[in-house]
Amino acid sequence: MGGVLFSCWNGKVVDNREKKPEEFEPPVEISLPADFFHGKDVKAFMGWGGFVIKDPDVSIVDLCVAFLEKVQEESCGQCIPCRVGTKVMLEMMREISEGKGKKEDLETLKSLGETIRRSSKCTIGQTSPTPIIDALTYYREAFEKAIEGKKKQVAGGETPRFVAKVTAPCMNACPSHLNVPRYVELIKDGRFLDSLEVIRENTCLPGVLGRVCVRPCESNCRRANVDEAISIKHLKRFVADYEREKHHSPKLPKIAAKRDKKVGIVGAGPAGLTCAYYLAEKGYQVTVFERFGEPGGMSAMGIPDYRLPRPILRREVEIIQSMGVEIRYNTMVGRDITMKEIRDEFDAIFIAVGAQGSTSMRVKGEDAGYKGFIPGVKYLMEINQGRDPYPEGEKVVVVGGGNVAIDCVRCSFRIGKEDVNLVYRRTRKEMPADDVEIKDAEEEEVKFHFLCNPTRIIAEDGKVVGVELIKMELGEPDESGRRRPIPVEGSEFIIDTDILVPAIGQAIDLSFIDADTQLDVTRKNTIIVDPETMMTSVEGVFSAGDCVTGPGALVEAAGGGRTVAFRIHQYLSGEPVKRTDDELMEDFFSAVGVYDPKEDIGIIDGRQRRDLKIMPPEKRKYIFDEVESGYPINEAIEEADRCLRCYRIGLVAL
Amino acid sequence: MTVHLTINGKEIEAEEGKTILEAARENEIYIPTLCYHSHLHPIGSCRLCVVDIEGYPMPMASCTTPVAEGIKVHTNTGRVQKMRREAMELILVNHPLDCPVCDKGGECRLQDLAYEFGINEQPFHAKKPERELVPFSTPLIHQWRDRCVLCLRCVHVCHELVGSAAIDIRETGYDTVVYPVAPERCYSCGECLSVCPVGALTEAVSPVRGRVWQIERKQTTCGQCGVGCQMEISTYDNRPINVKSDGVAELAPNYGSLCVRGRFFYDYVVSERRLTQPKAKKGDEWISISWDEAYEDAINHLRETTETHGPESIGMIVSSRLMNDDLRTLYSFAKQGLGTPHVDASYRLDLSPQLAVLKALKGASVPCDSLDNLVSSGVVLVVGGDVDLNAQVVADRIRVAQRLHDTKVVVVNSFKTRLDEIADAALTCNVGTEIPVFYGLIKEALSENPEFQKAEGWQNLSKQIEDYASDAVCEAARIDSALFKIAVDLLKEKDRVSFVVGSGLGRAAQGSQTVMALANLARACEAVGKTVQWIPLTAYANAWGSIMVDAAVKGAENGLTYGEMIQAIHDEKIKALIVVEEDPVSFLPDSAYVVEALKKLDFLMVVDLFESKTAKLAHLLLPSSSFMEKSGAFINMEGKQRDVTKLIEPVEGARPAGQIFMDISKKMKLDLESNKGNTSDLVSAWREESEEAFSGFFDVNYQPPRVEGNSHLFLIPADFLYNHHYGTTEVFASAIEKLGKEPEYLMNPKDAARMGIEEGTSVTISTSGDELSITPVLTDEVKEGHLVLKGHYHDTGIQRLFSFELDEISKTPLTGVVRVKLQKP
Repeated sequence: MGGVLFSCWNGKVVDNREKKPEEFEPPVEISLPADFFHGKDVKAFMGWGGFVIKDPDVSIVDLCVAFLEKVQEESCGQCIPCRVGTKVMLEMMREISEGKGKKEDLETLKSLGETIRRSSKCTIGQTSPTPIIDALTYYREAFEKAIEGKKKQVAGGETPRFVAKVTAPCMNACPSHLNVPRYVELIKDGRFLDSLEVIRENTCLPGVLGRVCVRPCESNCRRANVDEAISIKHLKRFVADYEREKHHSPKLPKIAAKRDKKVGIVGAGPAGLTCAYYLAEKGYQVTVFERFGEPGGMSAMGIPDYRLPRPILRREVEIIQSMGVEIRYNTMVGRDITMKEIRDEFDAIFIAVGAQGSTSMRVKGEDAGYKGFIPGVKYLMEINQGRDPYPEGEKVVVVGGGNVAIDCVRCSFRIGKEDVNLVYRRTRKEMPADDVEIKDAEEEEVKFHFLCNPTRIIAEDGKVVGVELIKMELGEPDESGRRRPIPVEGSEFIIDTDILVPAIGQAIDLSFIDADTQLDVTRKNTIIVDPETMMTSVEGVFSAGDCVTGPGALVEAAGGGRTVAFRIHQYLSGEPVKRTDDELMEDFFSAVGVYDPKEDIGIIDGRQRRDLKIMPPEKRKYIFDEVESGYPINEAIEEADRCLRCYRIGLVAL
Repeated sequence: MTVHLTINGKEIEAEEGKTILEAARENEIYIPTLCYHSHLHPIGSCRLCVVDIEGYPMPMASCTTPVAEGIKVHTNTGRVQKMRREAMELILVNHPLDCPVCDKGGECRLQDLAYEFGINEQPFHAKKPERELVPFSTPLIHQWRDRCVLCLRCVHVCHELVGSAAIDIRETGYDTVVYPVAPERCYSCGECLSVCPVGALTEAVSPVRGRVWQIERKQTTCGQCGVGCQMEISTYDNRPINVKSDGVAELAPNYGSLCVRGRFFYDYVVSERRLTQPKAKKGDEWISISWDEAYEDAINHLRETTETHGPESIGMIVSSRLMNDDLRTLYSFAKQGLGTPHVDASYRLDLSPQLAVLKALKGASVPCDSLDNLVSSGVVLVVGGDVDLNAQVVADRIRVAQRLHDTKVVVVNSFKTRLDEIADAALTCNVGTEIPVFYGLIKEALSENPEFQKAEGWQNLSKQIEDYASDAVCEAARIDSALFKIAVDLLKEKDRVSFVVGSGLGRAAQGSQTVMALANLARACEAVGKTVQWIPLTAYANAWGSIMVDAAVKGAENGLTYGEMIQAIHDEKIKALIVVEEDPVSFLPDSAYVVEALKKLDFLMVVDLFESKTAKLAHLLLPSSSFMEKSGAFINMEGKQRDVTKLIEPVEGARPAGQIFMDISKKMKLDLESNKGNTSDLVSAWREESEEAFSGFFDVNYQPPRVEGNSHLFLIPADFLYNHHYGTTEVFASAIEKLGKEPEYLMNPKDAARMGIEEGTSVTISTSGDELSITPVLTDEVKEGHLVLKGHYHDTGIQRLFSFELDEISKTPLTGVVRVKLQKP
């Protein structure tokens, strides 16, 4: 793997062509990951910001032709400069590569490219001429030679393989790689059901994700560089709700011919359900084992109804079932059926059990079994099954700063607790929970106790009566970048409480796995999988989601489930089990970096993002009704209209 | 809120939310556009409208960029000029140079722009893509793919406004084409054709075409139904050659939208089958006679009948498609000239059941509401048929309302309609169960409101709705209780409620009762403080005109209605009948009964454009002219005057109906009032008559439909897009033949299974009246127990199956539904 011979990215040029390899300077603004393509090195990369050449044998002219071919393939045809202009550029470039070009063409190409960049409707047209113009500027000689019929011949006659892909910052950031610009544009055009069809290409949980997604897409939204990010999550919810509210039966993908291979999935959570959906689409017979009488896993048991009403989740599961997926409820693996039995019956297995345990606070009294001491996830599960976990308790103290902690305090009001407290060892600023959720909790008048941490549980007669806390102060930043909390010696104090809910983290419970199935796990009890194959140490057993990554976002688990579906399909159809070119490209793009928060987009700002209507705190605080109501049609269209459609194309030469 | 900005240095103000382009246009600052259309969400495909804003490095498309306080916009910097020019040059790559033979030549936006930019050479080249020739989504439009500039207006209008989604783009890059992706959904409304700025879509109806500088184009009102759409008709060589609406796109009520009938069915006016000479029956044969002979024949017969049987033995049935002054002449001729009270018009067949109710609705402006108000409704309740088939333009307004204001839609109908697709609750009820549904809505949504109990007569209504709790309603009407609850909640929640009332409601058994039940719902809404709008759909261009003329023209009063006259012929009370541009044989139930009656007459005089089924039975047949052949006015379904312009000279030999009767009265020396008068006179005459308006609630007497008979179904002739039930004229349009739509009988597969009927087998449907052989199409679209006819009503002969019955209150002939027995042959 050599250094970079030439790079030009965002206009920053590093030219090592005249230098010895040991004197090569590293590229600026861009770095290419090494050995990305199953051990193959990338010879060159051309994309939205410029191009990088590593292998001197790559013909820049061929690279430009291949890139422009991809541009024409991806140009949506909806604006004139990109649709026709890039075609004109492609044909000129082809002529040049065939030795039929003219010298004037080079100037025409640059000038036309400049116009397309400035006048196109979206970023395909706005970015795609960039590398061509750069190539014409810095590799002019190569083009002139080609015009004279002396194009560089590749050494050994082997033309490189070009792999190209279109992406967008939001698409790339999404673990399920939803085609956000496309579905948002369809909303803008009033084509809501078409939009939902696009969403379903990548997730079967639009109504769920449209409510509870942590939305990596929005934190990678280029519109934020102008004014505010697009409300992608709410738009997704809008189309999912539209289909339901207007009583349309879902437009489902065509299901492939039935295959005789059977797949068993442990856990009907986001990962398991998603995997089941995409396997069913491919014709597999899928059975999901679920320990509860209700689908959804942590999305049902861990997310309160006021954020995700149960009927929304149920409807999406019904759709999955309508694709032929069987869900065996109240079937706990390890209790009602063993792993061995499953392995005997199914050709491939997907373990997607999530992280349903709670991390210990390492505080005295935790294991004493006191009444009133209820770990966060358990607390939520009880409430989400319609039960008050401890009806005698009146006052609640929840420990933690994440979303589970926030869910616990807000749910406490809703089961009738009046005195609800949250204890967090850092400050509001460092809380990992979603800011919107924290704000909602504040509005509902949760009592926050920042900069303190439990040291001891105080119990009487086997019941919690209080908790001893110690004050903390913030020191230097730790590996997470947040300032480390340090206890202030001797600052202990006690607050009375009937219920103590530790919600400082989730743990993975793998006790259902029997001795016959020797799964390798990490120190944190997460399952080890080969990132390429998603397979565990046991042949034919795959895993993804929280039980592999540790507690994470729903969309990550769903994305994992979808990836596993592809791997299982490869595995069962005898193909090599590995990432596809498309997946490799998306990962490659992530490494290169698609979203540039510093980019000056140069367009007029001031179109504020549309918020959803929220039930006032005094009305919502004691009921489980959904807090937010979705967009009205006109507002959804207006919000979608803010999208800049930041598609861009990248191409590698291998 | 107003924002201030400058464009090219000029200080202007604009309303917040407007785009830079809109602000510029309001201030008469020109920015070139190609894809922008004022009725569509900005598309942004052509990139010609780019402008520079000081301080921002990127040029912006002015059609999609909202104005902002303090911005300084420049529309003509060197940079944007270069971009526009290059965009134009790119559009013209491979654009065919067939302007000389292109229909759009002379009024083509692309031509204008190429001229404006002075583009006379082509710096760019690309290989012309090979494009397969595919028929467009309708045979009435020809698609020229090479001429397409992909502005995408057609695709957007088809999705946004029409809701058909019949066309879309396919392929990518330079290969992108507009493609008929779902031609089966196309209603041939031609909105795509209308918005096409170039000649990529051209009309494929008129065999005669004319360049823009050869033709005459005038604004007029469409005569095909009661909406009163504004349109422009181009004429050449005394014939209409196309209908346009882009020039009247900012005018109410249709804002440039038209339906297939308005846009494409214009050429019946010059059909070769038009009558061009008066004819008299000699034995079974027609003989041509002169106008003078014809008048004399008419006068002799009318005098003879009057002398022998008295003036009241003469009846007159006239079309509600005639213009106001024609109608005045006809009504005066009957009531004052002949002295017979028996004159009625065809509105009796559709609008009549709503009259009593419209008089009673206090919130409604007289006589009814403006279609413009529909757009701001909170919820629209659609009843009595498929609005897309009845009056697509009204359905378009409902779709616009939903897109702009999230207006909710509730449909109550006995078969599925296209608006069901966007409805929040589509209550597809069993036929004849609308009354329980309406009463259920009153009970569940309104009767608990404290204001309700302050309304006059509320106790009466409370008693009437007593038994209609949700469960009972859903059981009776066979509707989903969850859907019903949605409708209830919407009615509770929304303050502005619009009723769009199709004529199907009043034509079925208990029509007037059903309409009164709906009116009680509307009045209950008013009682609890809601704003109510009532929009009655009518198939007749001048239904209101005929109602008002009837009220305004005094003379012999209290005559028989349309249907009663037929009964009176059987009873030998009517001996002579004059029928003007109406076809009772086609439109009335039990055609055998009608034919028998007409044959009994001493004298049947028919005045019409065509030889209708009724005309065939006439003793005297006089050719009249269409709405394009004289000026005048209609009063549309909103109760507003809509002017009609004379576009062509009357077809040779034909005379306007009004003139014919004026001529006859002169010859008979009858003393008629002047036929001149304006619409406001008509409206006030009608108001006077309505003053005794009823307050309180109507007493409704509901009889559930009888459902006995295992092999019986309810046959419902659903409204049909292409002739609206009452096609006397459109059926002679050439487009009908091109469309070639066959009537279809739709049946639920479960009924079919129960009766042992398989797809594709023919069955006999019968009533005590007659029988008919049909081949049902099996589909879940239709509710169990129902058989829905989609197709020309009068061509199928199903009138024969109906018995001749009139609604007891409005006297509307009942053609809405009939119970038929199915038998395998």
